[in-house]
Amino acid sequence: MNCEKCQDLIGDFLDGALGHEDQAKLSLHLEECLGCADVRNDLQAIVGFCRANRGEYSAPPNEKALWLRIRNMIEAGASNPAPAQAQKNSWSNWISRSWELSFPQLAASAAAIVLIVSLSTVVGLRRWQSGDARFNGPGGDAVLNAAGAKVRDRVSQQQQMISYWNQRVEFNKARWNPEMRETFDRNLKVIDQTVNESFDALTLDPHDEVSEEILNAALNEKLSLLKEFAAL
Amino acid sequence: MPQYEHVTAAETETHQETDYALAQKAAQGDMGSFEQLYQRHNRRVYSLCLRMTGNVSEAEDLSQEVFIQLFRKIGSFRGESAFTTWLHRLTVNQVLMHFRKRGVKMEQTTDDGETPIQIVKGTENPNAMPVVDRIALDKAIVQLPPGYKMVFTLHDIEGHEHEEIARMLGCSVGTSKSQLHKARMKLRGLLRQQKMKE
Amino acid sequence: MKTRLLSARFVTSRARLYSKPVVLALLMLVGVPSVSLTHAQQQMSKRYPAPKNVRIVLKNIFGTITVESWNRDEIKLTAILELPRANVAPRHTGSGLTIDVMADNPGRSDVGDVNFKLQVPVNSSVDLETKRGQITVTNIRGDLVRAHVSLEGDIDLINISAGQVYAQNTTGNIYFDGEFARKGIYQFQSGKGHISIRIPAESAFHLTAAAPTKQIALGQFWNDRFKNLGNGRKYEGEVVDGRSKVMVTNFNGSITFLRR
Repeated sequence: MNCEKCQDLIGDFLDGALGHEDQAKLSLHLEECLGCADVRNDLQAIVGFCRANRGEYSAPPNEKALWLRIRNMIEAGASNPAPAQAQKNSWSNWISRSWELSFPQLAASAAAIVLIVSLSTVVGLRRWQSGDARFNGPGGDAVLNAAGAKVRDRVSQQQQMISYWNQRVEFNKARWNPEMRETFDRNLKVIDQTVNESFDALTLDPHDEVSEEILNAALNEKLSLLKEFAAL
Repeated sequence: MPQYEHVTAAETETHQETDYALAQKAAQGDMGSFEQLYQRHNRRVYSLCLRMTGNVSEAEDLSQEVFIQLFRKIGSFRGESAFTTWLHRLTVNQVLMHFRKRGVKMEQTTDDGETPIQIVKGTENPNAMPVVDRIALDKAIVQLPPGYKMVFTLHDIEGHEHEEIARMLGCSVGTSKSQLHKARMKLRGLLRQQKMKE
Repeated sequence: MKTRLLSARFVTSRARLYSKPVVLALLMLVGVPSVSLTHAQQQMSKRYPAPKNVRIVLKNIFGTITVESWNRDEIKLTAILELPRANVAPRHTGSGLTIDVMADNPGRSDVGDVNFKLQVPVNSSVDLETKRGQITVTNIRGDLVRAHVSLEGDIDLINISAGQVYAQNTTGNIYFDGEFARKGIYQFQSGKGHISIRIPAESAFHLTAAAPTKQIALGQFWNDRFKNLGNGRKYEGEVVDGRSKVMVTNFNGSITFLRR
């Protein structure tokens, strides 16, 4: 038996799938060849470790927040799952179709989702920060009413989303070098400035669509940044 | 609100409802039952996604997609196979789709010529393998090409048979075996490299 | 906003273990890795064969990205790595090249800058990301050019003719000098900086441009069919027949259209 054949068989040997004849040949070769014996020992250590530790799983950073996001998405899409394979509701059709979208269609879908998230975030922030004089008054109420009951129900979950990503970033920041912390904070301030200015403009004129658009874009940007840097 | 302590599926099924019963209720729109399924299995799903992507944020996003897909398809789970196997297949499909979207080929059999698998001769440096530990192994797995990573994770870490892996990945049993062998050899090289750097 | 570019030094081949024919074959097929060491930097250089319409995806953490076309059917990747060195493991697939520094360095937030230079065929699509550092793309005529700087860094897209162009940063200027393709999509967004778009006089597009600073200069592309929304903070309208879509947003800075 040569080394190439031997190392091919080591896999089957480790998985207990080797016939008696091959096993005998393999043993003979392994007694003579230090290199192949090394390979066998190393692979045995790797496979053995994996087997010994099977069933140990890592938890997502925040299981509860992840569940809330999942529930949000499900509730935003449909109230019931497809009861059987053959019966597809409109939501499931949409999901199946979405994998076949062209790039522009995909971009448009992504933009629509961003808009929904941003709008509910705007509403969420307004209620969340209701202690702030800027968010009290008829403007905020009008948006709340317009956003509808479903959005109101999800407000608290949106708050959790923002604070969740904020916490994740704050937790990670301790590991960053000072230059990176400064750069990140400086840039987040750039976005926060736009968020605050748009809020101010909306307080003065609740029907200012341009400010609302800019606000949505800036909030979306802030969430993206937080999410991106939470992974660092 | 349910608590999020770690409970294994086996423990749960002894004292509580089976996955199948929960799946049937979830198929009728019972979010409480679906949440229980999430509690039982989210770590398993997340761990697989994390191993495959090597990125916490991507793994979370993928897990989210898996459970949304699970909710949509849960009515089609008939209990013929274990729920965990069925969910695993769903997760693998989601990961494959994710890689496809990123232009990553799963049927990759070479890895850019970085470390070709070499037949080790008897004169090789007989340094012993470093003791395998979780951190070193995870670090090495992340560096595997996607095809190797998938087969190694499914076979050696999750304990699936080659026949099952071949069905999940849509490849032959032979391909699954050969990818696994290459993955193990590549891992061995990576772990040795790590040791050299220390 | 400029990020320093570091010079390359000694280059040595790692392929010395192989015989000459094998090295040549590898050169043709998978590219040759070469690594050089200096006190604080390391240079990595690789070549890959490029199929037609190759797609290059590069997700950097920190550092500059420079992409330019050349007259060869191959991709040349050069990276200068600063301490602490990041692990860079490019994946060469049938459709192109993917480099994901983030995925190659899980859990490492301390990696040094990696400054990439890519020489690619002119019809390549490029999808580029960095968290901090300038992105420059020159002479590309592929389907897609995407440049995303999460934090600070200028984006210069020069002599570009692509069906889809996306450029976004938080702090930094964005400069686009190129052509809009029929039915193409073009998006530019900055948090703070100047956005300049230089296009041929005969360009035809539908424009949505928003800047709360009211500094929107459409130059010769302005016409009286444009809607002025929010008292000069947003303009929307068509130039000629509006065959391509252009969206420009600047949170705090100017938007300027120039004739090529």
